Amino acid sequence: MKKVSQKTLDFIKKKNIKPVPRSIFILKNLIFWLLYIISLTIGAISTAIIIFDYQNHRLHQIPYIWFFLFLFFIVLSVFNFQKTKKSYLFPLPLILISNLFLSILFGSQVIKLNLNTYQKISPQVFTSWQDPKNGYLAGRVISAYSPTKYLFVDLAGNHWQLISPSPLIVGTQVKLIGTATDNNFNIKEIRPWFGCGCQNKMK
Amino acid sequence: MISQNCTKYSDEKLVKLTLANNDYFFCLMDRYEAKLLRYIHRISNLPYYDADDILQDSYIAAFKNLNDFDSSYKFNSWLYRIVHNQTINFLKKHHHHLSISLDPDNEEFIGWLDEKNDNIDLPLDQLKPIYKEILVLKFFEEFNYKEIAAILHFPIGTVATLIRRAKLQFKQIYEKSKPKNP
Repeated sequence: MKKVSQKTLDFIKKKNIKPVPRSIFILKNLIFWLLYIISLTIGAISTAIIIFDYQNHRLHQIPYIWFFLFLFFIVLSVFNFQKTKKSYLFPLPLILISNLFLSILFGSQVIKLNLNTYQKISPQVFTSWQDPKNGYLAGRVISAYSPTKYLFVDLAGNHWQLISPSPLIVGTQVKLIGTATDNNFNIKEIRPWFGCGCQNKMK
Repeated sequence: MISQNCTKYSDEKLVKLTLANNDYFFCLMDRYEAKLLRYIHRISNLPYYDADDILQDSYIAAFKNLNDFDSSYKFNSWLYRIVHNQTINFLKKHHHHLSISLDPDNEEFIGWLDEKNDNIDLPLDQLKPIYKEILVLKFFEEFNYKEIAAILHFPIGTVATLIRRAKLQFKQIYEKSKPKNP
């Protein structure tokens, strides 16, 4: 009876089986490293945008899109890393934590780059609330002159006299949409500090 | 004849020679045939004709992927990894589970059994499949932790933990199955 080794060698010769070229394996490994780096970079960009919005007081609602993009690409980076050689030497929690850390670290560096393009293309939902010329104002109600007039300080520390069609609570932080003239701000819409408050939109 | 001349070559040298001349692959296959058949049988409890098929598929896979062999690994770890995968695939395909037959001939593993007349035909199917395999690799195939990590693709720390747990579970099963003294 033929040994398995002899049978296999005969089979290899009969079917003319050849080893897969080394370049294919190198390419495959490179692709996984490349995908890993791309995933990590997109994760870092998502982190950078969240930080950018936060620093510029643009975080008036949770940035779900960037947050989920960040999580998705972190998971993808872990998956791609696990496909590389010798990745098995590292436990999964370590890979996950390292990738999270790297994304946040890169993200905090990316923020130093010019994010003007993002600012230009970002949708209305990310509009800055510290932009009185364009009718956006965010800050705290300091005191009330009357049920329709209030003293207000914005995020830049400027004082405003608000003209409000509905009562405001002194001491609360709010986001306002309206028109600014000199130091007066005529309110058209009041939004809570967190969330869009869409259900409370003033008519 | 090539097979008569290849005993002097290391595995890594034979890999290089095989890439130039396929006939040298016989030397590598022949060198590990008995060991690998025994390994497949031990981790799967499959009959030898199934083990033959698994080994042949493993050898063909190894041959095709020969250029992927990284010489920083030991060749036998790489080959065992392929055989491990092929065996698991075969078992999945045929809806079998890992079912190990351990021979009571390993001194290190059964060293804690002092009584010579103990029955060590243990109910090993009660062990978790991964525990069974790791015990075979450690105590029967005699691989070290680093090699087992390369075969099973686990971190070395996990291998150490699994071996400790496997020994513990093995001992518990053994103690339960041991006939009590009157």
